[in-house]
Amino acid sequence: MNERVDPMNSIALSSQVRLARNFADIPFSPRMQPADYERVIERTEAALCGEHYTLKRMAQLRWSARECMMEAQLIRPELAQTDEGALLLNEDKTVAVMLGEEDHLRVQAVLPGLQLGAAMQLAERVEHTIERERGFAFDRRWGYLTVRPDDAGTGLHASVTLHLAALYMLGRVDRVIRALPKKDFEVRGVYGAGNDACGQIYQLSNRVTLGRTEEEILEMVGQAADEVMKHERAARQALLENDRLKLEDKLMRSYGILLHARLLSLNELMDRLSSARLAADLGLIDVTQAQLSSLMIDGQPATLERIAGHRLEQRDGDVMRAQIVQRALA
Amino acid sequence: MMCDECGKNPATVRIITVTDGAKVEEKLCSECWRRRNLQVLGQLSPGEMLAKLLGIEVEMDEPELSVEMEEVEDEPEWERDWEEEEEEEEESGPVCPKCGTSYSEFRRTGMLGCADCYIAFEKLLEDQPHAAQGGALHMGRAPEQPAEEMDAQRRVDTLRRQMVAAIKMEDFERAAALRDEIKAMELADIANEMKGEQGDE
Ligand SMILES: [Zn+2]
Ligand SMILES: [Zn+2]
Repeated sequence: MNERVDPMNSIALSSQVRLARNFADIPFSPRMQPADYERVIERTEAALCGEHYTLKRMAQLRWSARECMMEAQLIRPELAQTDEGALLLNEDKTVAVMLGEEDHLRVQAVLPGLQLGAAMQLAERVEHTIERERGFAFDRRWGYLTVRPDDAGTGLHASVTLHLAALYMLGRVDRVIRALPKKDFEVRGVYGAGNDACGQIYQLSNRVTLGRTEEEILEMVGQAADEVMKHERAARQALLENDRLKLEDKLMRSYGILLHARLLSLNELMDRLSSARLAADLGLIDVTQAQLSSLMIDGQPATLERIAGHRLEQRDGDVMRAQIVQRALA
Repeated sequence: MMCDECGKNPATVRIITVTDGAKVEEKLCSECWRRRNLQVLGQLSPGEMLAKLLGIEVEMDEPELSVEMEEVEDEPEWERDWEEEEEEEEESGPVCPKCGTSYSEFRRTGMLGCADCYIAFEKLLEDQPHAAQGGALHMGRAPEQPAEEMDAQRRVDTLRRQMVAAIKMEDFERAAALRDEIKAMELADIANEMKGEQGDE
């Protein structure tokens, strides 16, 4: 597969691989007792001990802390909502093992740019380490057994997070997404519900986990992501050739607001950051994608409150949001 | 109904292409449909793509893009059978002996209770393939098993399933061809084993 991280053309923000696994000798989540959750947590922690993972038990975290983890895309709402579950997180936060979600384990690896193969290697290494301790539920016909048969087989969900700013400006996102076979791929907005993707950030992932090899799944998702990126690149090219000055003016005005506004709602922040990403890609401003990514997370409601150290009413939140943005970009 | 292109997977998309006023109807599986789509997009030159993106609709020959698409509607025979059956059965489906999850409970929640549920409900899961998985066999890696052995066995398994499917669809010619292929593979396997034994002596 074509692996690369291209800072000049950061359409693919990150690549993520998630493996669903269950221990063979423990009932699945609908039939689990509190003691079973303990066994899952203890076993996995023991297997990964010495690898510098931090264990975070949901029961010991306040709701606001769980929200922050959701906003940073470290856990999914399904895990945040349980008290029995836990998260094992490595030092650089590239690997997160969710324990006691729907499946006993969801091993998730995230790397920047388009590098699904490397993310897979990372996730598989962790998965092997756990597997060596105790066997996972597996069947020759169904593959790795999961709570939902929809995830069985490889148990693999591979996804690429894409920033589709130009396609969005041209109103072409839907058309490009619809060109992908619905049975094979799922595309969702990472922030914001439904099709109304906040910040024009989308996640493209495979639906089918059974009947294909791991390599085939990675290849398929990689190819589909490449295809979408090709369209986004062409859209950027089209915008530039159409009226470069007008595009630059639009992006720089937007950046000006980011730098000087006194009140920034979450929605506005996401939109302005999207324009700023494009401006950075085009070399108009000297800001890194990483800076913009971390602002995107810091501006989310729960994370913003954690930074403030207290609860924020909406208006105070908007003030605070504008302040942290200006502090970061000054 | 099988895919017109590969003949291997069930057709899920019906494509009507209009070329020179003549209507051509094809039924494709999602795999072939995807391949076709990627080809079409790949054929566009950067200029055409640009024009498309800018909303300048250039007149060009692109029969594949002017397709009308609709999901194949007639559901497979067995699916209808099953739904009728279930209404009669209500709560009386099979129950997993290990964890006590009933099949009707699974149908309600979409969640299984333990690894053994896959055995207890095997036939039902196979007959009622899950939305996207389409009754496929596991092809990915397995925990610590010799790769070659798995592959040959998996290949035979796949052929067997295809044969059963062919018989169900009364495509006896295809079923016979598959049967011969399975026989040949098994014979090759036995020959291999014998060679191996001779080598050991
Ligand atoms: Zn086909
Ligand atoms: Zn069971």
